[in-house]
Amino acid sequence: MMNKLILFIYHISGTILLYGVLVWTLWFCGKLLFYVCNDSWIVPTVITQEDPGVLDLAQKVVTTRQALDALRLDALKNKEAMDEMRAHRLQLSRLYPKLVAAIGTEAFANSDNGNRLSALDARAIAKNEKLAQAIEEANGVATQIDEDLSVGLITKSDAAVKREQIAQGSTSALESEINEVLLQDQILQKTTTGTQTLDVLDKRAELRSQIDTLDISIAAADRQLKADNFQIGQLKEALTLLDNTPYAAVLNGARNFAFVPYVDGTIEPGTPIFACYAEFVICRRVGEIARVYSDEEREQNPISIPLLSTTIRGVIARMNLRDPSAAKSQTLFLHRAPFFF
Amino acid sequence: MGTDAFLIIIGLLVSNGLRHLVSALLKIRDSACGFSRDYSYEPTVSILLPCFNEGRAVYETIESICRSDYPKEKFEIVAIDDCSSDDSYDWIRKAQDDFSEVRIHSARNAQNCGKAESQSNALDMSTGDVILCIDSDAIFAPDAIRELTACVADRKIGAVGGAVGVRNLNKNIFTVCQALIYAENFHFLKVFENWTQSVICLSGCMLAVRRDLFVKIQPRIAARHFFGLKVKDGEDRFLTHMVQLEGYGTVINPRARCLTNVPDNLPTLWNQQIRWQRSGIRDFCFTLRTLHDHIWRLPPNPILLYGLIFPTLAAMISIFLMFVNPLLLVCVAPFWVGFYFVMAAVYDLLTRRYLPEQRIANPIRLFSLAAFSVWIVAGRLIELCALCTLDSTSWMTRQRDPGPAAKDTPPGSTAGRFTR
Repeated sequence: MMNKLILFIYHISGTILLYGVLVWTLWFCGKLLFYVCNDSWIVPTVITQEDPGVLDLAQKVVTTRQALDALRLDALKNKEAMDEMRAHRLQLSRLYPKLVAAIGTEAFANSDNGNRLSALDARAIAKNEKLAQAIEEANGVATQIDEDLSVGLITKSDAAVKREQIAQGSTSALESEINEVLLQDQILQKTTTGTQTLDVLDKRAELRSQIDTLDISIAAADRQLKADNFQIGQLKEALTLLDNTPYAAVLNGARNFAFVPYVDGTIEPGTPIFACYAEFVICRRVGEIARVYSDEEREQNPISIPLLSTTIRGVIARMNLRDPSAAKSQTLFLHRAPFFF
Repeated sequence: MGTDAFLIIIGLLVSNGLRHLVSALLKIRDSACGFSRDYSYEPTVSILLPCFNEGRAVYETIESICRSDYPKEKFEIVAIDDCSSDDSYDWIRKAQDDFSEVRIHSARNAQNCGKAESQSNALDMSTGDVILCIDSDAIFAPDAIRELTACVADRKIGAVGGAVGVRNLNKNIFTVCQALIYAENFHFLKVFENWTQSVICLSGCMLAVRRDLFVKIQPRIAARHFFGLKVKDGEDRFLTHMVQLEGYGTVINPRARCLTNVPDNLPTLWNQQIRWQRSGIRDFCFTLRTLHDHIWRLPPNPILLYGLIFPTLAAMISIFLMFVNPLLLVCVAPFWVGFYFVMAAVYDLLTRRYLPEQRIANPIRLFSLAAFSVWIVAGRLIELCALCTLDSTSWMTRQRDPGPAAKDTPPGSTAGRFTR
């Protein structure tokens, strides 16, 4: 009796299991066939703010914005420095021609005055020679005065007057010689390149150098500013791209997305979405497409046979779902219910 | 999941490759398969021939036995008709008349009772020292009986089987595939089990066993049941198993050859495989039930390996494949296709030289051997079906149409028949 019961239970269980496998196999094959023929299915997916992709994106946005701010600051500093250098350069460049003109004028005047002073010097030398001759003669007169005084030809006061006259003449000759030497010195200064001239030339060269250095610095600062501006542009583009990803939408509060294979080429915002019972029968409208992202995505094909077609290509779309539970369905359908009911 | 699938595929290929490599090394080392043969030993042999709906094929079977080079006075044929609905019994009687130089006993069961019980009835009528159980649609090589008895000369050997070939191998893709599998198993993989003289399943198509052992084991074969329901199949596997548990060795002598008709259509093949799988599951359960006997009597024994560990692993892999990711079964198939392509090439090479009767006539059909790779999927379903139908008592594979021996055999070809 017990054996019969066990056999009965075994028989029933075995039959149920085998028919279950048969039904499952038929269902699986039917499902496979359906998805091969149907081109309006999409795979819903819920992305939360805890999603690694979202966190990664948030981190990238922060990092990018920080880099952008830092670059903007650098660019601003560069611009200010460049403006200052340009103003300084302008001042120096205005001063430089004046200096060059002054040097030219001075050189011309020196040359003219030097020639005239040389002529005067020649006359002074001749005059001094005459004075020297007169002093020698005066020295002879002084001896004569002493002799005349000793013999009493002249009085002491006359002798003193005559001696003073002789001393004055000597002093005049001496001063004349000194003046001639000074004149020669002046001529030397006017006609040769002296240290003062060199100082002036040095100042001119220094001014030229400052202007050139400023030119180089301005050019470098200009290049840096351009590079900064280029990077700023790139970072702005990157931020725009990041803002256009589904993860950015998640950061702004969106949750429901769907992978749309390329087989469906008519998807656009507003396309109605249907969810079905038993995967693809008895369907109801649950929402519509809110946005279609342009970047290509590759997803594991939920219905394909492994090793034969493991991934499919498509895009991600954001969904507005009135029924949030529809996001948990294995697949959803666009446009209409697959079997019209 | 992809990595898991890859590891499973690699594991299956490596284990299968290792099994073939070890077998090849053993075969190269000792083509005689590791046991001695004494051709001077000539015991009396009783050939038990249970028959059901075989028609003319049973006559051809008896004819092939009668042409054996074994001394005629030393063997007898006991043919039992299990209430065939065709003219099988008439063919037995005709053979009895045509081959009068051989002792042929014939009888008919009172009612259809299956192969195992028919065999038991035949045993009661037999007198030989060695019992040779055969299928009623098989054709035997003239030296088959001698090759089998030569092995039994060794007192340690309790039962010996032969290499079964495919008689209708050129018929269609199903028979081509089975020819490869039969050759692979009997001439190659069984060598591994021969090495330890513990072949776990000697084919009931040609199985010689000592009479005393058979008499001892036969009641146990007859007493098998599944919760009170009499078990009518898998007697060859059970007999082999019991011989080993009695402490005797079981071997296959690949030189003892016979040919049998194999299923040539999918439903018959499917049913046959389910029946074989069912006997495998029963044997596995029997091994579990008598594990202590196996551990203490047969260490180290391949039964534990092939009867317990391998089936357990196979079952685990099957369950994993079927229930975790059924599509992985399909993943494995391409690798199996490649494997069987190589096998087909090797098969063609070897059969040209060593087994001309098993050579496939049309080389293009060799490529169809790759189709057998789908068995990686079908095999799992067969396991499931067998597991769920252990209460079945149907034979399922007996065909009413015995079919010509080698319908598609081209003129002059030796395929499907023995040549001296």
